[in-house]
Parts: sequence; C-alpha cells; structure tokens
Amino acid sequence: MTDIAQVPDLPPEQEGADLRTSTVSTVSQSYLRLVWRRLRRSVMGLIGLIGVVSLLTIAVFAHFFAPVDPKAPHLSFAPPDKISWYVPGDGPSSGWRLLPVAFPIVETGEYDLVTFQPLTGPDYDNPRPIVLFAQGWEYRFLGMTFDTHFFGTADGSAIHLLGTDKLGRDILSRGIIGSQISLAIALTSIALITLIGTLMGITSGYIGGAFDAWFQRFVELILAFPSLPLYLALASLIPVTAPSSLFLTFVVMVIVVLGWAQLCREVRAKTLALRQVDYVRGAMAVGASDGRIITRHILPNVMSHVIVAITLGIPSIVLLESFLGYLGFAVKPPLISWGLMLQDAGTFAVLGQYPWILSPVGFVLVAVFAFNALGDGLRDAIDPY
Amino acid sequence: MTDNTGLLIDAQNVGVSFTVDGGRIEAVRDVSFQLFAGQTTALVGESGSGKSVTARAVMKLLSKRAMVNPRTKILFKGQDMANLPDRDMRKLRGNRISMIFQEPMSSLNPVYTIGSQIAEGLMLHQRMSRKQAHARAIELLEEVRIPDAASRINNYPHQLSGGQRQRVMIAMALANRPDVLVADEPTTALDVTVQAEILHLIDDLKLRYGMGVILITHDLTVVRQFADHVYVMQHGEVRESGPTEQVFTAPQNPYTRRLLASEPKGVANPLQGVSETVMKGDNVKVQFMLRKGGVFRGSYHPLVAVDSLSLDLKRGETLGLVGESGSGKTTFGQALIRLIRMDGGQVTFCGDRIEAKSRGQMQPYRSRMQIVFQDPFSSLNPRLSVRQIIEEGLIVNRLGTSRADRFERVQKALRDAGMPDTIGNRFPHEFSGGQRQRLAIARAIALEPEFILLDEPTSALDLSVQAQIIELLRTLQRERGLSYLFISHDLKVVRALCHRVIVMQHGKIVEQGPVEQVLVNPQSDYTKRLVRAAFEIAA
Repeated sequence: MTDIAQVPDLPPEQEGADLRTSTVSTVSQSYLRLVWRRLRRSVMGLIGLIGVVSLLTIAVFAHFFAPVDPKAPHLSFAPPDKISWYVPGDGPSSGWRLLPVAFPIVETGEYDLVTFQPLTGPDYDNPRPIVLFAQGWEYRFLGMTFDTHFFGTADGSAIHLLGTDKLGRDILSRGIIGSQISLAIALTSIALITLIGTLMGITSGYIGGAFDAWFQRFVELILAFPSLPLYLALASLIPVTAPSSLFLTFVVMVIVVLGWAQLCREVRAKTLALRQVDYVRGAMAVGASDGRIITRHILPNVMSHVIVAITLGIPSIVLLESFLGYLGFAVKPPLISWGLMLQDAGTFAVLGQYPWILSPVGFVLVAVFAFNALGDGLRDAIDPY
Repeated sequence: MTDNTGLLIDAQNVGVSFTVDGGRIEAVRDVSFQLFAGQTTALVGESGSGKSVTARAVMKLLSKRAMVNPRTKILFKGQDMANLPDRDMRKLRGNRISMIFQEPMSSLNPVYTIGSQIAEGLMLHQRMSRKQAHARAIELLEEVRIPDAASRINNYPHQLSGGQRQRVMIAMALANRPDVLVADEPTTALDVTVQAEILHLIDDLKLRYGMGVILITHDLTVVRQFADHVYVMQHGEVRESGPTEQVFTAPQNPYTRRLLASEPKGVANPLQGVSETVMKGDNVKVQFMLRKGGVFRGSYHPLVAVDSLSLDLKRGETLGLVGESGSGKTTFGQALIRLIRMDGGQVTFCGDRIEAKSRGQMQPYRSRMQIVFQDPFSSLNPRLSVRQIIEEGLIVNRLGTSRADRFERVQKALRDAGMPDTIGNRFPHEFSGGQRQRLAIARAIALEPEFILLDEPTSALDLSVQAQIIELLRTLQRERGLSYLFISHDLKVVRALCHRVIVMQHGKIVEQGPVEQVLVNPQSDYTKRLVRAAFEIAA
C-alpha cells in the first residue's frame, strides 16, 4: 500500500496533509499490530509478558524442567544444597571451577545435644557438577519416555535447590510440577468464566428492558454471596473418597459459578454503551440482524475489555487456589499444587526451623505478578483504540 | 500600529512542540502576535492549526509533554513572562489574564453554587470578605445580563442553560477586572442565537473596561464581526495577519484565500419538473417517558419530542430540517426511517406505508433508505476495515452476485465518495474527520439508496472540508437523483444545499417553505432570530 497522499485520485490537498500528520506510518496496521506496538513500550507489560510465557512453557514441559522426581523421598527437611564454584579440601577435584558444583546435604553423624535430632550439613567431599540437559529420572511425555532434564547433576543424583519437605521430596521439582495443576485450574476456570460472563453480559445488555433489569438483580444476588464460606461448604460436600479428577472439576465449577457475575456486569455495561453508538445504529439502518450486530460490532469492541479482565482474573484464581489448597479444600494428594504444598507450611514451629518450605509462596508471587503486570500493560495498550 | 501605548501582550516567536510516540511534533512555530487594550485579536484556523496551543502557551497552561521553544518571548505590559516563576504566574492568571473555555459545563464545578464559584476567585485574589464577594458576585452576574441575578446566584450549574453557563464563566473571568481575556472557542458549543448574544456581551464588556480580548475560533463570520486584528494560522504557523477588514477584503496568502472561499456557498441543484414523493410523514409523534419522583412512588410522564409533524420529500429534492439542540429534529428523522419507535402518525416511503412494518418486513426497504451521522468518529466501527464497513450493507441485503462483484461495488462507492479505491484494507482510525465522513457516505451510497437522512454531516468538520462534503453531496444527488433529508443547525449550509426548509422548535414546526423565502423573508420571530444570528453578523 502506498502513501495515500500520492494517490492521484485524492481528496483535496488539505485532507491529504491532514492525513500525513495523523498517521505516522504509511503501511496499514491491523488492530493487533497497534496493540503490540503500544505494549512494546511498556516495560512492566513486557516483563509480565515474558513472565507469563516462561511460566506457561515451564508448566507445559514441567517434567523436563523438574530436576528430581517429585515423588521420590530423600532426606526429609533437608535445607537447600550448597552451590559453589569452589571446592575446598585437597583432593584431586579441589580448587576453583568454571561450572558450579552442588554439595549434597547429608547427616553428619552428630546429634543435637538438646533435641537429639541428627544434624545435617553439606558433604564437601562429594562435589557434583551441575550441567545442562542432564540425564535423570524417567518421565513420559506425549506417549514417549524421556530422561533428559533442563539441568541436573552430571551423575544423575538428586539435587535440591530449594531443599526438601517433610517426606524428603524435592520442593523445586514439586513447585514446577505443581504449576501444571495450579495454572490448569486458573486457566480452565477463567475460560469458562469468560465464556459465560461475556455471553450473559452481551445478552443482558443487548436485550435490555425488563429482562435486563431482572437478570442484573440475579447477578447481584450472586455477587452478594459470601464467597469464602460458600467455597468451604461446597468443597466439603464432595466425599473425601471421590477421585481426584472429580474433585478438581468440582473446584473449578465452584470458582466459575461464583466468578462469572463480575465479568457479566462489566460486559453488560459496555454493551449498553455500545448499543447507542452510531456505528451500531448504522448497522441497524442497513438492516443487519441481531446476530450480525452482536458478532461484528459489539463482540469485537467488548473483547479488548474482556482480554484485560482475563489477564487480571487469572492471578486472583491462582491466589484462591493456593488459599483453598492451604486449607486442604482444592487439590488432594497425590496431585501436586502450590496451595497443597503450602499446607506443609501450616505450623509456625516447622516454619521457624525449616524456612525453605515457604518457597511455594515464591511461585504464587511470581505467577500473580506476571499476570498482573501483563494485564496492566495490555489495558494501556488496548484502551486507546 | 507602531505606537506601543496600550500594548498588552507582545508575543514573539512562540514555539511549542509535543513529545509523542516516536518523536516530536512541532505544534506551533515562530508565531508572533500583539494585543492592544480595548481591541480584539483573533487567532483563526482549522483544527490542528495550533491556535489553542498558542493561547495556552501565553497563559502557561500547557501540559507537561509540551516543550516551549527557548526563543519564545512573551511580554505582558513589557514584563517578560517566559521566565516568571510559577508562583507569580499564578497571581497573573485569573487576575490580570483570564480565560474562558469552549465547554461551559465541564469548566464549572457541578457541586458548588455559581455564586460561591465566582466568590472564590474574588476572595483569593482581592482578599474580600465572604459578604463582599457575594455582593460583588451578584453585580457581576448582572453585568453579564443574567436575569434575576440575586436569586440565580444560589443555583447550581446544571440548573442553567448552556448560554447562561457561558455567561457565568465570563462573569468569573471578569471578576478581577483582567486586562486580557482569552476566549477559546467561547461559543462553539452553543446554539446560534445564543452565540450571537454571548459575543455581543464580550464585545460590550471589552469596550467598557478597555480589555484586550484574544479570540480563538474557527468561525470566520464571528471573526469578521468582532475582531479588530486577525492572525490566520495553519499547521502551527501564522499565514497572514492584519486588520480584519484588510484580511477579509484583500487576502494575500493563498491559504487565507482558500479559507475564505470555503464558506458554504452556491445553491441546491435545480429541480427537474414535478416528481413523485419519496418520503412522506403525517402527524408523526414520538415521546419519551421520563421518570419523576422518588424511588418507590415515582411516576412516569411523557416528554413529547416530536409533536405531530408532517413532511413530504420529492425525488431529487433536499429538505432541510433546522432547529437548535433539543428541538427534536434528529428524533424526527430517525423515526421516519424507523430507527426509533414512533408513538403515532403515518410514514409513507415510495408509496408504501411503513410505520407498522415489523423488523423483518422493513428489511427490503433498508437498502433504499440510508443515514449519515454527525460524528464521523463514532459512526465507523474501529475494528472493521474500510472494505468490511462498506461491504456490510451489501452482504446483509444480498446485493451483488459474488464476492468479486461486491468488491467492485465497494470500490465504486469509494470512488464516488471521492476516496481512492485502494484503501479497502485500512482501518478507520487512519483517516481524518473529513475522510471518515466520506467513508460514511460511501457506506450509504454503496447500497444505491433513494433516500438518505443526513444528520448534521458537516457540523463536526472544518470549514474547508465542510465545503468539499457539501459539493460531494450535491454531485451525488445530481448523478443519482437522491432525495436528502438534511438535518442541521447551520443555516449557511442549509442555504447551500436545500430546496425547502422546515424550522423546528420544541418538537413543533415553526415555519416551512422554499429556502429563499424562509431565509430572506422569515415570518416567525424564532426564524427571524435564527436568520439574523447566522447571516447578519457577517453583513
């Protein structure tokens, strides 16, 4: 496409000049391209985007990124392995290294003089080099069996970068595998919420009148529910013996049933406003059907708002899951989720002695921050048009 | 005017640039102007010409993203304001230099009475007591000719009409007897009759107090009547300046000449003999139900927006529907093409009665009657490409035999609307206001309608663009035998485009007849006032 100002069949000079100043580029830009252009300029938005993309990648290829089998027991409540570029002592492998080595935590053979618990500490005689694409535990992915991991020790022995929990399972690996369930709950819930909320919102706003008035009272009723006790009550309805998948489905259902109302209200308000806009009236004037007006004119203009609502809604569900999980209502073992992992951090005594078991909080924090940052960036990028 | 006595503002080389995405835009370049006591200096130009930015630079009211060129020198009574600290500048602003804005509703605080808003400035700058300030506020309201000022002073802004609000704004601006009044499009948001009153008021006050007035406007008629000195601006530069009469009678600069020539002129296409009626409305009535009273015991009462109006429109004819805001002209027009519900009356379109037809039954008529809206920015869906926008009516009405044929029709509509036919894949935001209005017209004519409702299609546009759109509408009418119902408040445009005119007020017809007759020899008082406001200022 050439510059419109040079096309001979041009509306008089003034408008041509006007156009040149109003459009920076002469190439026609699609809406998505414009959004990307604006998003690119927002630092926080970009950080959020990178965070979200890496989180999703890690979740999808969780087994590849997890260095240790998340279910294999090792020394319980072991602190994080000591990582160093220097190997002490006077053995053949001592001295400075280019690649870091991990010293495993072992029982030193001594006992605490007060509690008589066995003391643990790094085993400096046993340096294990950390390498990328290490061979480790076997897992199945897409029907095939692999044993390559993003990183690990050269000899395939367990490495605990964030220590182990009370059963001696690697916290980092569990956190990475747990992201699958935590994010899956958030993403399926938000997908259903979006679907139902947008549909109901557009319907209510477009039909308007008495239906809208009554439907909005119903929405308010849902919004007025004290959600927390309801979550707990509903979650305790399911028998403890129910299979994990049923349990998960139920949790998602509860989140969706209570969650769609907010989005519905927002979409409805937007639809009400759009219905009065001239281009919708113009479409009515050419005789477009309701379905066409909704899909071509209202939905695309509501979507920008919905996308932002989605990105800002995911972190709140991640938080909700971790909270419910902490109380033991969301995910049951043997499944792993961040909330479930935090259950271990329930007592102060344990926390004081083994602070590393709090590290799942870090996963939640990163996820919430990344999605929020992306949502904020997207909102700024989407709104002006 | 080399004599420097009475020189209030001497602005030299004013330059302002803005940081925007991907660079800087120079909004104003090397603009110099002078303002003398007791005179009006007008900055004239179309949107984007930098006239408002220049005035704001003088007031030092620019946004943070603006950069003032270091060569800029603004002398107020010989004192350089460019280097004045913010504190001293604040004392100057609102005290010695005041400003009034275009939109009187958003400039007044809705939660305070107008009296307390006027008094605030007095107590702040002149250290009056509350009582003194109150008394002075009443005086000021009387000065700007608000009737019954003593009781009006306790009103809130929403209780006043647009014109009265602007008077209150002027009263506030005058409160401290400023030397300079900056009026930024003071009457653009107001109806024509009110517009004239406000401008006369400013003029009187100027003479009485020997103020200097900087008048920013795009309206050449206003400039000619009220300004002593004119600076014509385009793309941030002064194209021509001089005493008003000189600039208007002997313009030197080509831009000025073009601007002056773009005042709506010419007359409607000649009518060919007697032709059949395309659109006929009989006793059309539209009313809205308004709710009054409390939450539980509220009652509804009807507001009659269109009160039993009739019109008939012949093929190839343009009928003007004129009235001020709130007169019900848009409602009437939209009721005729069945876009809003009617509460009574008959509508006949090309011999068929359509007022009782259902949405489905209306479908065959949809492509034959079209509408062009006032605001070209809200009338095009930002998410659809130009081609999709124009093609929509064709798809919906099953016009065109194939995809290729439809594309052909889209391109033809674009060409007929005076746009290049290569822009199908571009999006509305890439076009200026005038170009968007052409796209809206292309959307309408792609369906090859017989009747188009033109709802103020030119009032959101700059003067020169306005003239082009009028010319386009005339050409289309000539070539296609279109019938227009042209809704407008601008009598000059109506004169240039319409054969007959209907004047409306409060939902009723005040006067109707051929354009020459109504505009040259108006019968009703209301029409006389409208005509005087629109044309006699210029004479």
